[in-house]
Amino acid sequence: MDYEVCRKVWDSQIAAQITIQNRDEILPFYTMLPRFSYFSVVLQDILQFFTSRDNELNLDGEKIWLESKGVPLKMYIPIGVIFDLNNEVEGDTWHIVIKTSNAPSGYRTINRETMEQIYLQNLKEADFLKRKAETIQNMQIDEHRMLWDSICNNHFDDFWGINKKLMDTSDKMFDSIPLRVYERNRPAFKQTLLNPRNDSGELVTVGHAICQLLAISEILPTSTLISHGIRIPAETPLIYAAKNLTYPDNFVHICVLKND
Amino acid sequence: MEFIWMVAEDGIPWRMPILEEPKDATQVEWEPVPCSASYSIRQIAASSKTAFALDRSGRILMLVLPTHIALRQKIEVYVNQRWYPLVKWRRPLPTDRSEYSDESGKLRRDLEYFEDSPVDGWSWEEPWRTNRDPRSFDDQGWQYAITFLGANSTNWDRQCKRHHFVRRKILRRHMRFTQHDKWIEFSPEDDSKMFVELACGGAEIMEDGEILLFALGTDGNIYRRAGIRTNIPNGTEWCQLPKIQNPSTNEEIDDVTLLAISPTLGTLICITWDGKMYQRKGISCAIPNGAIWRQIPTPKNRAVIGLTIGTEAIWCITADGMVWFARLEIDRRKMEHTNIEELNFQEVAKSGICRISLTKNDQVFCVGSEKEVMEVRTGIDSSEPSGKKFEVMKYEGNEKKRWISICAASSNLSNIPKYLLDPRVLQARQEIFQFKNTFWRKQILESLQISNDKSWEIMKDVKIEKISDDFGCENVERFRKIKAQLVVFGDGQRQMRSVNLRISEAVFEIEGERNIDCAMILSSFSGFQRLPQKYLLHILVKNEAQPISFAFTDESSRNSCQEIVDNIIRSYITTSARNSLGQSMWTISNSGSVRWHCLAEMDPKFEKEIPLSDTRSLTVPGNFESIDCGANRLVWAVNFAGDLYSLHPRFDPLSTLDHTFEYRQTDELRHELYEYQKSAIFRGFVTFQGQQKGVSAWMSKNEGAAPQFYSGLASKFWTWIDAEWRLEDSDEDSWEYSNEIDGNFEIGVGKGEGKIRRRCWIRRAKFETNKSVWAKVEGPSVKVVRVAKVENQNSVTVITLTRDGHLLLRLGVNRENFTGSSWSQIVTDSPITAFHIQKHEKIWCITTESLIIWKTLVDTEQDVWNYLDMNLPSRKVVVTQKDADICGSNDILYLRSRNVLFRIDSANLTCSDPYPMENLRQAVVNLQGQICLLGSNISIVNEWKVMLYEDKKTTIIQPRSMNRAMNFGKSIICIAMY
Repeated sequence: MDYEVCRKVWDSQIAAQITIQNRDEILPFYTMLPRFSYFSVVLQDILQFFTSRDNELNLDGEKIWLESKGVPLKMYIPIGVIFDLNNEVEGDTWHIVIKTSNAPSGYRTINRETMEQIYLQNLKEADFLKRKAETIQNMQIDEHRMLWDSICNNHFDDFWGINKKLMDTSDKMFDSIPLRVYERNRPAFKQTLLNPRNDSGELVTVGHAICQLLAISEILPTSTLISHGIRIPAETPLIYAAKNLTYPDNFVHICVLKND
Repeated sequence: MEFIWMVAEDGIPWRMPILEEPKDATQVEWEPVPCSASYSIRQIAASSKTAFALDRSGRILMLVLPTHIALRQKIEVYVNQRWYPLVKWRRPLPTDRSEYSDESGKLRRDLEYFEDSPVDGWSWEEPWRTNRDPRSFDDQGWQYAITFLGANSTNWDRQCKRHHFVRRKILRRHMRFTQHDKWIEFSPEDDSKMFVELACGGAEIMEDGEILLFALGTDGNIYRRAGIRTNIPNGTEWCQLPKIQNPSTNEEIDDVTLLAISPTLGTLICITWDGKMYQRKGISCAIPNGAIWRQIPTPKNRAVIGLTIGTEAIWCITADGMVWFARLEIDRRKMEHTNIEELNFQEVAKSGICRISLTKNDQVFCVGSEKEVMEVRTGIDSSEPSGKKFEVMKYEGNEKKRWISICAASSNLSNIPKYLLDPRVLQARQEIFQFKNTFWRKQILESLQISNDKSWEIMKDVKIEKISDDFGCENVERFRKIKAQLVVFGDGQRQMRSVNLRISEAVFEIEGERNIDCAMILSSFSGFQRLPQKYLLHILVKNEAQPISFAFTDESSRNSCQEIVDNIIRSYITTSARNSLGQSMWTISNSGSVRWHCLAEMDPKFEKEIPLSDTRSLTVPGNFESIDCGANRLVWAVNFAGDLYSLHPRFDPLSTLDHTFEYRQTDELRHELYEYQKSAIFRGFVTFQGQQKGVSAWMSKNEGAAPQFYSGLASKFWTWIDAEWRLEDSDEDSWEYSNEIDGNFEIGVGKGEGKIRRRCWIRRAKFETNKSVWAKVEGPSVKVVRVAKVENQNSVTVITLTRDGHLLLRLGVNRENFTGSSWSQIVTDSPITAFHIQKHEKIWCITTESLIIWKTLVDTEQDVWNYLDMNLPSRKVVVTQKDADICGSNDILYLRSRNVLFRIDSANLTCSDPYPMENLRQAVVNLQGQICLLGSNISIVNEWKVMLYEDKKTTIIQPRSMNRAMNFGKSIICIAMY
């Protein structure tokens, strides 16, 4: 675990401005959203803020949905990934609107408990890819809960105390690396089996892995690989990214953006 | 470098490097250190600097570990000549001393004798050189006298006068030890003695560089090697110890088989054939051969066959294979073990170990008896001094070999490092270090930092906008409320009054007293008061001579208040106009805390820098004794224990974001407490209440009145090393007497002397933090560090002066590699008192004999020093060894000795009369070449008035214009400016 990088990644936050649909008289809520968390988790606090300001406001956590710049925001993908995917430049606050109208079809509003299940599901999938789920099956339920709680409450040390076990390669290397690649205007992510080392035993770089995934021959200089709000150099070894540049679900989420 | 030495069955010595935090497996790999083919080693004894190996044939070999400071010896030969009419100077008469001699003239020396390689392992550094000290010799190196007889050093004159008939010059040559890290013969001059056992230790009772080396000869005698010093690692001769006498029959005992000595104290025990143990009592620094042999009881009277002594532990193996352990009690004043004759041995294991060795801190390394592999005893600490169990070291090379000897006495290990037992530890580390310096990682780190900064910036901007848009909305300007006690001076005494503080961004309000405009707050510094114990915070306000002081009962409230004040200062500095030169000053207070002062703030009205007394400063974490700053904003500092640290270049006192630096900084301080007693009629000396002339019965050396045997420490980073206070002087009569309580105290001659007496108590404390922004630079103990103010191609020159007067240059220092890469010694003939780096190219030094020398920094290996020969009447400039500085710019040198300043113009060869200044403690220069003086105030002299005497050699100097800061000079012990 590279402490400096992991710490900075965890501490990355996005400045957001949240308003309520059709209620312009209500002052917007300005806050910093942690990149590693999910909307399902932070929504509760946001709503609480609004209701504490104005007692008559009635926002049903189950019925509202979130939108930014006309695009609905998925609640089950880490906040950082959504921001990187939908926004060009970090120059301004992220305008998010809480919509009370009917959600578009297919939109799922996910509450915190469901999110915990989704999170653990992702975690198990990541561990399965890495080492056939041995580690996570040997962990106790308490530890699973602790992981989730430390995400909700922003406890870096607690989280990594347990996450370290999932990142340990002292016995043997990971079988394959959990990596998801997103492209703008494409529906979902792409994921495939990726080996940390290539045939000659060298470490595979992030650039190569993405080329393999997207079935392109090379990363064009016009595209950038973004994760956690920064440009990831294509030469970064995949195994390094898998240990230090992951989101709490142990996946590396990278957005490939083309600069026009 | 610390090593543990072992000998394998095939007679080849191995060593294991011991590192606290190894980066990867290669740093701690076991390596064989073979001697030449003809030797087969059977035992090794080692100290921290040298290892001694005993070969099967009885010869001893020695290996000197590499040192930063070269081992050198100086050889001097005097060349004597007499003047004869007509032929002038020729060799002296047969009745005079010989042409080449030593100083007294009695011993004859032949130059040819010294031509070839002097001794095995040493080689000459340079050819013969003449001593040309301009104060004693003329420019050819001669000094003259009337006659040889009765001429001592003061009769010799550097100028040849008509009545001088003899002359001499000194030829000097250095030899340097060059065979580091190789096995060489120990005593080639004396091939006759053969040995069967070695033991080496006593490091803490001997002087620096000396060790106790005992050896058992084939003739049954025990010998000690005398004359071992730092630059004579193999000593000079063997001294024989008297034989042991059998107490009952008074016969001499001839059959000693084993020697063991404590690595730290002078406890030497030997074992005879019948398994009995005898201690050589009375070994001390003054009497290294000890006084008498005494038999000591063995565990349950069984025969002992193996033994090792540590500092607080002793382990032995008896003939039945059982392993025993006993605790050793130490008298710290006399530095000796007190309970050797009543050791209480406990059984540790029934069998399993055949060889055993203790480190200086009582960790056990041993060889198992079954497979003869290396094992350690895990779990040894103060609560369980005999540890928990023996474990095999999981190291690849361990199980492949069979080991026959081990010596851990050269190591300071106080617990078994994890990597010896679990190889995965190193692997994990290796991963981290594998990628540490790659470009992509650096890019990632930088981008993360920038991105984080940006987000926070956005957030901050938004807030400000928002607030100004709202009207009618409550001003959410935040303020903090803190309870503290205000320290006021009333009736000539300090009193404390409880107040409430309300601190906002613009106003610092002391409720009921006064409001301070935050723009006027210049700096804050913390303090500690012992009686009553309070944590203090002093705040300096512009235009006020005295700081405003607050007292807190607990440290965290004081720290949070200081953080708030520092944040206010920080915001004012960052929003003010600063020039691009970025002048700054670093200071260290008498409690060791570091502050950074911003001298680059500009006064918008006058378009020049604000006066020194109006500058702001911020506290920087760390605990040091001296500091220097230089080019590329590099800052180096030295702590009280003599360790050297370098500030991480990414640390910016103005940055609020917490970079996670995780360096470890330690320091050690000796607290001194004086106990005073007054003499009363009929009662003798008694302690007293209250104060007399400002002195109370218990006084801390630096901090004034203190509680008796206090246990409070200045901050949470400090802990006590010694559990209790002890007397500095072990003597009963360590009292000093005086007639006046504030007068001079002297050791009492008779008990009737003086009305007041005092003695000194000592207790040591250590400072430790693991989140320091300072990285330690390994090397010998340092007194002073200097950083050049100008860059030298791609690196910055950093030079340190060690405690014993040697100069070391740190190579490879720049912002990426801020701790440099290696040391190179700048060799000097005599020890140095102070030095100065001119730009980046020249170094000026003043030696302990008050000689000023200089050289260019291009080639530091050669000994080409130039003397500054000013033709002054000799002994004019005398510099005290302990309290001197030298600094300067271009060709002007400023020399400070105690409280007096000299200005020396090295181009025109003039020297000023001494310029005294009250309480002057340090003189440094900044980049512009202005001199800054630390006295009762801190002053920067902008310009000097220099007036030349008629003799064109002496000048009088006076400062013409000064920039002075009045407010905090007294509590500062060191300054550095850039």
